[in-house]
Amino acid sequence: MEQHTDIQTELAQLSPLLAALPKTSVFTVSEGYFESIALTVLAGINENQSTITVENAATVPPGYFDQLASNILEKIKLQQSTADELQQLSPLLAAVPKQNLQSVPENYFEQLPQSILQQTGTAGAKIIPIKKRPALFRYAAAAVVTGLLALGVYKYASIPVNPAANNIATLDPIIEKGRSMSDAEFEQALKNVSSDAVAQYLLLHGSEADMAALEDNIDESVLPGMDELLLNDNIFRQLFDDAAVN
Amino acid sequence: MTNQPNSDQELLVQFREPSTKERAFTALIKKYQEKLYWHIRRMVVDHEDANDVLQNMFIKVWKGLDNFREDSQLYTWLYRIATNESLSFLEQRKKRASISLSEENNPLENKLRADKNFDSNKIEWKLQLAIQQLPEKQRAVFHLRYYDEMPYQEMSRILETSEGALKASYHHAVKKIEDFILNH
Repeated sequence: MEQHTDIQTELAQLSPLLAALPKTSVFTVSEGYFESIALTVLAGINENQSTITVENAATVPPGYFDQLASNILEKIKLQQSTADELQQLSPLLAAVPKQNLQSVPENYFEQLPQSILQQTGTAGAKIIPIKKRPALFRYAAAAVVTGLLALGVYKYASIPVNPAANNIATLDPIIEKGRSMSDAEFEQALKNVSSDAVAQYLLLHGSEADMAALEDNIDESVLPGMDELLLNDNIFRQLFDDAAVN
Repeated sequence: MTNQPNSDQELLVQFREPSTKERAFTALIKKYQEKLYWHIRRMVVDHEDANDVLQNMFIKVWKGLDNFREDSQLYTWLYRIATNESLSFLEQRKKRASISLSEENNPLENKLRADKNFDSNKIEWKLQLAIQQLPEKQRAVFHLRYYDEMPYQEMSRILETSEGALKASYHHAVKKIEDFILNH
């Protein structure tokens, strides 16, 4: 195990200037921050948002670190609560796979993209593999397939936490169809949607509420990089301007 | 809270017991939160971002701790998660910036300059500006070595990079930082 002195000696050899600098932190946190962090983290386990509000980079609410541990545990409990609740209420139900038994006509989703393309007048437009598109376009492509933008939320977000998304789900039964699709079926249905059809759909139907619902539910870890973006820059910019997403 | 476990081994044993799980996890957070917070904060600069990353990493720790293999140190494992979460966060922010067509060249440098205490004439702030010029992973290497004074062997486990490569990276980082400070 290297000792502190070895590391300092190494630095002194590399750069006497840096070695002479005091290692004072220029960053600050408010008094009490570390006392409440455990509580906050525990409370955050089930929620995709921070439970604390910070005024600026240098301050945290008093007692933040005091409560953090219990907050984290609280969030963990919340996350586990629905499964535990069902298990306690009915072990039988809890053991039943949550499969949707409703079905759609054979090849319905395979044929739907082309059918929509024909309706939007973009049949024959350049086809870009869906895997290469950014997430917003995946959601929009899902909307083109189903006629409902919010479907994407249910295919790509594990748990709909946004109230707006829940309302959309309640209002429109077509979402249930989307939810019942396997990933393979869904991907198959999406794969031939053209970028123009998606762009057209977003321009016509991409309300800010939908966008907010999508943004709140996107798992960013699965987003492709911008270097994979093959879409026309102007279309892309216009869509974001119109959708107020940035 | 009485009988609070002290060693990582005790914490892990208690975490695996349903009756003491939460207490052990709370103790684990309290034990490591400051070291991890500052490691993350140096990477992402902004407190709110650091707080988000810290919370997310502890949530991942909760989910993964049952499967933690004790052939590595808990401390090393936590640092690895914190480092990966920080790098992922920075990567995602970079993507978002390019999606929103942001013109910002170095958002972390801008955050530093926006700090109410920022003073470009002070050497400690120059050092921070110099660090922000490094590529992200090299920045992590520099932080672990310079601030956390971590042996290359441990850094190797955290960053999954050979000790030789880390040593070279750190040396280059020091030289780049020195050049920046001398020329700005």
